[in-house]
Amino acid sequence: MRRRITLPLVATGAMVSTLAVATPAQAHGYVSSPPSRQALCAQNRVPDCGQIRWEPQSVEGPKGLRNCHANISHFAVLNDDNRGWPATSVGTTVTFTWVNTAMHATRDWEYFIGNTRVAVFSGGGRQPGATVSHTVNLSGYSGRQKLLAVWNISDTANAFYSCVDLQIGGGGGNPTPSPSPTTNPPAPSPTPTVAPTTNPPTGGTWAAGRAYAVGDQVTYGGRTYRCRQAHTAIAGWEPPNVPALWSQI
Amino acid sequence: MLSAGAAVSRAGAAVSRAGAGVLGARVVVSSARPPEGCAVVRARRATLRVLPLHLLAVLLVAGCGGSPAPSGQPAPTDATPPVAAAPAPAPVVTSVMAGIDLLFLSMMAGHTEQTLQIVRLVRDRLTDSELRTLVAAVEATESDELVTARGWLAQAGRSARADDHAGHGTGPEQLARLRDAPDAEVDTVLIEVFSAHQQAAADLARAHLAAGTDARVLDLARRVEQSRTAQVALMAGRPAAG
Repeated sequence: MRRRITLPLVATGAMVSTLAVATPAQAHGYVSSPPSRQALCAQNRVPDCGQIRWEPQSVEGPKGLRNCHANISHFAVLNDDNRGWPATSVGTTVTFTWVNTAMHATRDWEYFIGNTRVAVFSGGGRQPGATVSHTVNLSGYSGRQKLLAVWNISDTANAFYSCVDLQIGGGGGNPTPSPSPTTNPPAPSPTPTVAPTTNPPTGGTWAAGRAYAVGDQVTYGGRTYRCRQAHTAIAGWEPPNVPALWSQI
Repeated sequence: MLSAGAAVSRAGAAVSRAGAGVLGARVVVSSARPPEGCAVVRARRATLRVLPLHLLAVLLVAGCGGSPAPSGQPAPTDATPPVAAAPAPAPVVTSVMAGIDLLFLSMMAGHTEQTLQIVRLVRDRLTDSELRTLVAAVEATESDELVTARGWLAQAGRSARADDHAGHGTGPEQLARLRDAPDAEVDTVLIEVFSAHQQAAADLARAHLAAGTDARVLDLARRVEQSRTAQVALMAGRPAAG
C-alpha cells in the first residue's frame, strides 16, 4: 500500500568521504548497495543485460526522467520489470550506497517510489566523494517496491539513474544479498597492538602495530618470513599478502 | 569539511594548470577519450591506441604478480607460484570476473596511480621518519597491487583505462599543493592530502565488499579497506597531523 510520507527537505544521512577537485570531470555513478538493476547485471546475477554489465555507472540522461534506463535504448533492459529482478529484503530504514567513478558538482540525490519522492539529500553544488551513502526511511511502504534513485548534477542538464528492487518489511537492517566468499589468510593475527615500540625478537609472531626493520623475521600462519622493507605493520599487510614487504623463508 | 574542501578547490584552481605536468601521462589518455557519455568499449579502444605495445605486453603477463588469493583460472604465466601461506579452502570462485569486479579494479588502478604520484612528490622531502617509512612501504605495496589489478584487467580483455577516473580521487591542485609546500609544511600537507586519498580508497573497497562477486577481487578489496584505514589512523597519530 502506498502512502505519502513527508521528509525534511534535507533528510539526515551520512555523506562519506569528501575529496574536492577543481577540474570538471565526467560524472558517472550508480547505486551499488542494495544492488541496483545495473549492479545486478554487472554482478552477472541477472543474465543477458548487454552492455550495461560493463558500465553500470553510465545510466545518464536529462534530469526529470522517471524510468530506470534514462531513455537510453541499449540500456532498455533496466526498465523491463519482467526480467526477474531479485528484490533485496530490507527493513524500513535502508542505506543506499552510490559508487561514483567520476565526481561532479551535485545538486541533490532524490529517491522515488512511484511518483512519490521519499527522500532528497542536498549536494550543495559540491563534488561528492568516491562513495556516498544515504539512509532513507521507507516506513510508509511494505512488500515489493521498485525504488528509483537519482543523482542530479548541478552544472549539467543531466542526472544518473538507478532502480533498486526492494522487499520492504520483515527484514532487519540493511542486508547485502551478495555472496561473500572470503579468502582470508589463516589469520592468527592477535588484536593489533598500537604504539610501535622496539623490534620484536627474531622469530616472533607478526603483529600489527609493530615496527619491522629489514632482516627481521616473523612467523605468520605457521610460516616464517623475513622483512624486505622497513615498515610498521598494519592490518591488510599480513606477510603473505605483501611480498613487497616480506619474503617467505 | 565540505566548505573547507570547496575553499581549497577554489584556491587550487589557479595552480591546476601547473599541476598538469604532473599528470602528463593521464592528459594524453584523456585527450583521446570521448568527451561525454563514453562507453567502456570506446574508452578502451582509445587506450589501446595510446598505450605502447610493450606496455600492453607487460600488462598481459602480469596476471599473478603479488596476489595471494587462490585463483579460479590459471594465469597465462604461472612461473611465480602464489605466495599465500596455506590458503584457506578455496571458496566458490567465478572463473570470469564480472563487470562489477572489473570496474572496481579499474577504479583502484587509477587511484593507485595517483598514490604513486603523491608518494614520489614527497618521499625525499618528509621530515618525520615514520612518515618516510610509511610512504616507502606504500609505494612498494601499491606498486604490486597495481600490477595485480592491471594483470587481471588484461586477462579479462579490459584495460586499466576502461573507466574514466580522471575526475576521481585527488585532483591536480592537491598534487600542486604537495609539490609547492615549503619543506617545513610537507609533512602536514601530505597527511591532509594523503589521508583523504586513502580514505577514498577504503570507501571504494568497502562498497565493493558489499557488491563484488569475484573472490580474488574481494580479497584485494578487503586488504585495501584494512590497509588504507590503518594508514589513515597512523597518519592521524603523527605530530604533524593537524
